[in-house]
Amino acid sequence: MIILGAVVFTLLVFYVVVFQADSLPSIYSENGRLTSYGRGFEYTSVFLFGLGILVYSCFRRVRRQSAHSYIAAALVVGFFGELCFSLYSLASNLVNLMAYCFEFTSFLILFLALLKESVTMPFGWLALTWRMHEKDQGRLELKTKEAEEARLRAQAHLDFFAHDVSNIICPIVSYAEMLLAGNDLTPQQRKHVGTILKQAQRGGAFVANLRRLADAEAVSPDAFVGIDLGRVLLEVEGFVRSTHPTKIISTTQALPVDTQAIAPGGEHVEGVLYEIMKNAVEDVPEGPVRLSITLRQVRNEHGKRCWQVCITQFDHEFPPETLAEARVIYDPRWGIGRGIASSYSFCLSIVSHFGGRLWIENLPKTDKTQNSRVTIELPTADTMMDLSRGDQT
Amino acid sequence: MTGRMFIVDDERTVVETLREILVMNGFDVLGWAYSGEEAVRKYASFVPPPDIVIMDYRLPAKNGVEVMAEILKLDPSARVLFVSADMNARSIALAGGAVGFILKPFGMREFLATVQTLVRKDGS
Repeated sequence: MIILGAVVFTLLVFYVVVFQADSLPSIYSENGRLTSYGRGFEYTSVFLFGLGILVYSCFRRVRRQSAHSYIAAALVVGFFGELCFSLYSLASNLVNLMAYCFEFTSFLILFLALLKESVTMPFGWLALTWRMHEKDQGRLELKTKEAEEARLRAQAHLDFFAHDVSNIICPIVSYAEMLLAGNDLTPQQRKHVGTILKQAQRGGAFVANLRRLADAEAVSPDAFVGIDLGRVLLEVEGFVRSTHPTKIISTTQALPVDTQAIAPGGEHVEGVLYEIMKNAVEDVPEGPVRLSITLRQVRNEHGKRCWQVCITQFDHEFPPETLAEARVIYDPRWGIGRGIASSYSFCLSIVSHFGGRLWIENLPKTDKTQNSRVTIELPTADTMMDLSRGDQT
Repeated sequence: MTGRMFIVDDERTVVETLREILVMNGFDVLGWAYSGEEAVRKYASFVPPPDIVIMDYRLPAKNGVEVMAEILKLDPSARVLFVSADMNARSIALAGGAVGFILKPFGMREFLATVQTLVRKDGS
């Protein structure tokens, strides 16, 4: 608005001075001196410069402009320039020359002030910001590197921890089993040794699961490491059979043979499948274990294709606390009193990390039989590729 | 059921426990080693060689798979049963020529059952 007003005013003055010059009173007398009107005009200019200095000195208290010293200097020099214009007697007079010098200096200072305020400083700030950005970038890279090193160190500590705890638990479990296999214990001692065995096994399972989760979370789901679910299910079943040779395990399988069931997660998901089948086998203290394993392709709630693994256990029922725990993703920040997580909680955490789902349920009772089921859904390879490209629909 | 066993594990208590379980159940423990180098040196000295080598994965200096490779170079008919707390080691060990794998921590029953199955296979 101010600029517009100034332009209009300038054009008006230009018009009057150029085209209506005759209507204006004369500034110079015939002998080259200022007329009384001209002097009055110059004094008005001097007054306006003085007013400008006063207004600016008040204004700069409000807005601390960086170029204020330049503007103040320009106004003062301009003030003296106009004063000289009003004092000179002849056009060739030294005072007149000084007036021009002052005016030139005043405009030069004003130009420098504007240059500094509108060009040099913004670019200076830009350069400084850029330098700081580069510095921050370097600092960020260093922090990322340090964080990665810390993560690897923590991983190594956890590896050693898991290894050493396993070595501690092995003899406890073995000797407890040895004692229970003998006939030397009183019923109360047998009960105590049984508790030692059970708790040591829980501790071992917890450490193994914790390590498995830490390993899985160290892998970015975007860094697709696939497994052939069909092949892995067969291998895991064989492994569970070999580690539980005294158990009678009968399974029926429905696995696709014509398609490769590639899903993310690599050996981490293999560990989950092992944990689920091991739990199924160990949940039955005596008698045969009957399982049905199916693998098929379905569409998830977003309409994306995924692999669904169902492990149904016949004559088996999950207790309510296991059903509840299996719905909660393991969080190391759980408070005291929350208890240690069940294996299913860890399995859910790992599967979720790779973009999948896991749930356990007791199937509706039929006559005298109660069956349970664990279901895992994992994205297919092409769905995973879509997700990594950012297609979330 | 009998069989000649050789135990390789860096944890002395684990070696002692496995040795006790095996001896109590009629197996002959030829020896044990706490490191990979010691294991290869001792294996070369056994005549006849053990039926089964029980090998830990995490060993000082060399891991169990590297030690197994050296033993298989000496004796391609060697049978190595791996024990490890690391599930990821299973596929590496089996691909390297191991005949079995047990996940630590394991108990006496699981360990014994696996060893007996391997010895039975060897005899059949």
